[in-house]
Amino acid sequence: MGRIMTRYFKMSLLHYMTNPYLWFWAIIFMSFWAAMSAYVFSKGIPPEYMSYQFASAFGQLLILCVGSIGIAIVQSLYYSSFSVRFITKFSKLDSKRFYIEHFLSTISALIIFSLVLWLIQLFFYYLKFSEVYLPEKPIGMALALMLSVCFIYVFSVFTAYLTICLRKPAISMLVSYAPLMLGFVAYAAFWVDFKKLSLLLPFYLISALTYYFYVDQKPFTGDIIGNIRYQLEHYGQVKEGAILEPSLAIISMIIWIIGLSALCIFLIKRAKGVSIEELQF
Amino acid sequence: MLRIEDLKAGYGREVILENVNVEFKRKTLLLGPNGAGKTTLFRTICGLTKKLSGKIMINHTDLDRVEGTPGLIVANIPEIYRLLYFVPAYNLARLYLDLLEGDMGLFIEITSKFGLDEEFLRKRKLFQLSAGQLKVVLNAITLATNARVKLFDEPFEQLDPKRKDILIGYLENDKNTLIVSTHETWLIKKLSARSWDVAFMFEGKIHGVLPLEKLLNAYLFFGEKPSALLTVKTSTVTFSITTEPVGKPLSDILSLDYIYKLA
Repeated sequence: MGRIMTRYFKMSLLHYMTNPYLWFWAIIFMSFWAAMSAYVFSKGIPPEYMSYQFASAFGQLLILCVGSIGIAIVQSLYYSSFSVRFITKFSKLDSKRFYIEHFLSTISALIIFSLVLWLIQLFFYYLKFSEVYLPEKPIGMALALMLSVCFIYVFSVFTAYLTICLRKPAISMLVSYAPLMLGFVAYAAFWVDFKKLSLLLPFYLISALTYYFYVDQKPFTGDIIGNIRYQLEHYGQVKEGAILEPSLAIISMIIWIIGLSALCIFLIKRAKGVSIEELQF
Repeated sequence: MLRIEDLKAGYGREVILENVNVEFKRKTLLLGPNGAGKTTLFRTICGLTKKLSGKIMINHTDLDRVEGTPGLIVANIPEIYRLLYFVPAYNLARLYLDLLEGDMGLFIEITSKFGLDEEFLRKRKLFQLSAGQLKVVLNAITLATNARVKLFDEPFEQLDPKRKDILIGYLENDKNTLIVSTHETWLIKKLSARSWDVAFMFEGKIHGVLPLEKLLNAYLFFGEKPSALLTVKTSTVTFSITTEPVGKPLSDILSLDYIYKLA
């Protein structure tokens, strides 16, 4: 790795892994909700349906976990903008290398935090139900995880550079919280049916795909509670148009990632190395 | 050699540097009061502050066209070292010296001489250092590289007299083109007269460059002197640097900030 990458990759990964705020918001705080889902929110759910409860909770917590890290990505891009300008010119870390290594180190950190959260949730469910709930489609789960972390990365970079290109430093703090705030779209899906619009909502698609690959059951387009109630009342039947097609969801996520990546490249070029602090002068 | 041609730079609509034309051929002491534009000049050379017009060259390399090229320039400006936040000072120095192709052994030697040992730097992040410790670390990274041009912005600030002497020793031994910005004129008598030049900076303009040996016994005279080595006209004061024993000995002033007070 040392020959292919500069030391920046390793240090950037270390930077994420030693960030106490990330450990608190992405892991400790989410672990609290993982414990709540095992001990409180699972009351009344028959044991044979517990894997669905596990998958649904993990889908929700995953998006909030990576969304919390998204805040750190945006704020670290703001913080390092002057350094990046110098270092990409006058060190061996040129612009291309910088963005590749920044991407890889951030993606690695996002995956590590997601896996830690998953293990913690497995632990709480094991303590409560003495059962280890593993995914039905592990390769699919890996794909869902990769799509989630890639999306959060490109969305965070897009957010950071959009603020710079719009020349609106005053909104920088608010905008940096967008990855987490929009993560609550997935939570709203318990009550709101997004119908066909669900395919355009990547923050919901992340939790929906996680759920699908975890239990091998197609997710709803939203109104999860209402749809489950309907299913129970109608002997397992589902409402027409209430099912989200996973293949379309994957295609939608890929389009979002490619589209946002293209926008990021455009915005980075347009930003011309201007830093957020410079806009405040 | 660092050459600057018709440089204009500033922040937003505020122009700080205008018509800057200068050539730094060897080690140079850039003397100017606070607010003269020294830091802005360094930031512009490093690409941190946007250049509005002009050209900056190191030997024959136009800095506008440089990308991913270590060994050209380095500076002790704090904003350069903000690539990562939650990383100990030791690791951050190691990262920068790796990217800038510097010598980590030399960095450790320098910081140790300033009383910051390796163990201490492994425990503290950059934002956990005091102003003086931060200055030592940034000076040490800059010294430990082999860049052709090294910019030191107020490197003596926050250092006690003993540490100032140690730093002078390192600056003297460095073989590259150093540009040291300061408002402290006592340095004139401390540096080796044969290897240093001196330039003055007032209100965004550079005056000089003069060989240091000519300034050893120079005087500061308020007003114009036809025989002066240099005459500087600012918006509020005109003074001449002259070898004639009129006015105040330059090295007795201690800081160029006093110029406005003395006038």
